[in-house]
Amino acid sequence: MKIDKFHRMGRGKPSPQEAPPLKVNISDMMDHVEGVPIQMEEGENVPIQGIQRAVRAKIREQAAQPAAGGRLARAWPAAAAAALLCATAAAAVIQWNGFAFTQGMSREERAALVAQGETAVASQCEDEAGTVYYLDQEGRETLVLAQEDAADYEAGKQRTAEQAVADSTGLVDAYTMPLMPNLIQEVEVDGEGRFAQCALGNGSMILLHPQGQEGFALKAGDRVTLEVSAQEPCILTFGAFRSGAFLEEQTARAQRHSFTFAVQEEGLYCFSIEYMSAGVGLLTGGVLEVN
Amino acid sequence: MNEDEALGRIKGRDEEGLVWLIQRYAAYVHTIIRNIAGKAMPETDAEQLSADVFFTLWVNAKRVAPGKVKAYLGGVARNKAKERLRKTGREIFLQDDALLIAPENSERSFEERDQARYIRRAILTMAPTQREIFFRYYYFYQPVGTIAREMDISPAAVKTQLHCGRKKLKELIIKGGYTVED
Repeated sequence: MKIDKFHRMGRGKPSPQEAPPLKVNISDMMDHVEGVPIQMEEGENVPIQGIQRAVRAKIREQAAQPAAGGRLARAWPAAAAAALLCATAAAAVIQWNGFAFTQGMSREERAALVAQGETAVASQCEDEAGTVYYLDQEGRETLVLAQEDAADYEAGKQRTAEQAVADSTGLVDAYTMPLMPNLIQEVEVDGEGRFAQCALGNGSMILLHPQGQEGFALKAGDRVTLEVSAQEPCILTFGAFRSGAFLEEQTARAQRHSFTFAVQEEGLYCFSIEYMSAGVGLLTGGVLEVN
Repeated sequence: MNEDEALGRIKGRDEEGLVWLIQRYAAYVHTIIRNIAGKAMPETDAEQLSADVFFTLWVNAKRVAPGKVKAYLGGVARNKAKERLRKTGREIFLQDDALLIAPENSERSFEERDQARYIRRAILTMAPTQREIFFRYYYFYQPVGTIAREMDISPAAVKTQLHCGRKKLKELIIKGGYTVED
């Protein structure tokens, strides 16, 4: 059994200078895509009778060995496994799901939160036959799937997760974004332009809107400046939405980040910050100003 | 019988539904396996692999939605053919297949999850013709000449569409904070 490519990011990696670029084949990336029916010229002299005989033989064989259950062996029902995969460490400050307000937390509580976020990752591995084993944090198998079933399972999970993210906000249409974040959390901006400090996991996004309102009513010529500090180096992607539709984004890499957006057209705007890094990030000192 | 009825029968463990689908789609499945595995695979292996594909449908029929049988069979045929090649230590060589990805942030790696997100998003942004060409080439491993003939367009047009599709994918990956080397 090899446990490699699914391991958590950032553990035991060589420095950027040493790390060679990763070779990824587009045809392998297509493994993650649901098949589409294509009208293609089909070969002649296909041994239909032989295929039928072979399939029937397999069905008889399966019936004779009910305990084997075919190639698919589930150690847990999928729902239970999914829940386990999302399970977090025991002594937790909060149930970490990729976002938490951290205002009022002590330093110790924040440290515990970060530690919890870093362990709240399960893993999976694949053997030489392509069978995928899903493991919990203790390394116990929670689900075992044949290769093609695992691909379907992952695709289904991805679709469900994206739908859940899109449904989690009524302020914007997340499907208009180039890439769906892992999580969207609506965060209010107060009358002085400040918003609460918070902790974010990789791929989590906050969506800023005025207190009690669905967006900032802006007119052409307005300039919006958004500033925030991150405790650790990370990548932040700032985005702007008008009338719920994604407009543009800007990526910044530093610990103090800022983004300026020039309004071209009157409308109701929301602004987003997506966090990208292996560890949990604490965002503080967030200010949004309109001039 | 129609496709949905055949699928319903399989779900009810009636082999007649499977026989009907084998007659309808055996050539399709066999062609996909042949496209991927090439002539090097003995005919008996291709036949056995085709049978495996239909047996997988038999086992997983409850998870196949009506109207999706052909897509499901095509996907399973592709994956099984790739898996067989992998086991025999052979690789499929496709031109312009590899992307070299260097993370700008050392803490990030291009995980399978990222790959899934970027490729799906890229495909969503493609026009129907470009998407079909992309699928034929990168999913079903059809040669450019075959794609051109079957879609009644020139090989140059196929190459152009593939180039544009790759460009979209690269742009999305770069937007995600990675460096893509040629």
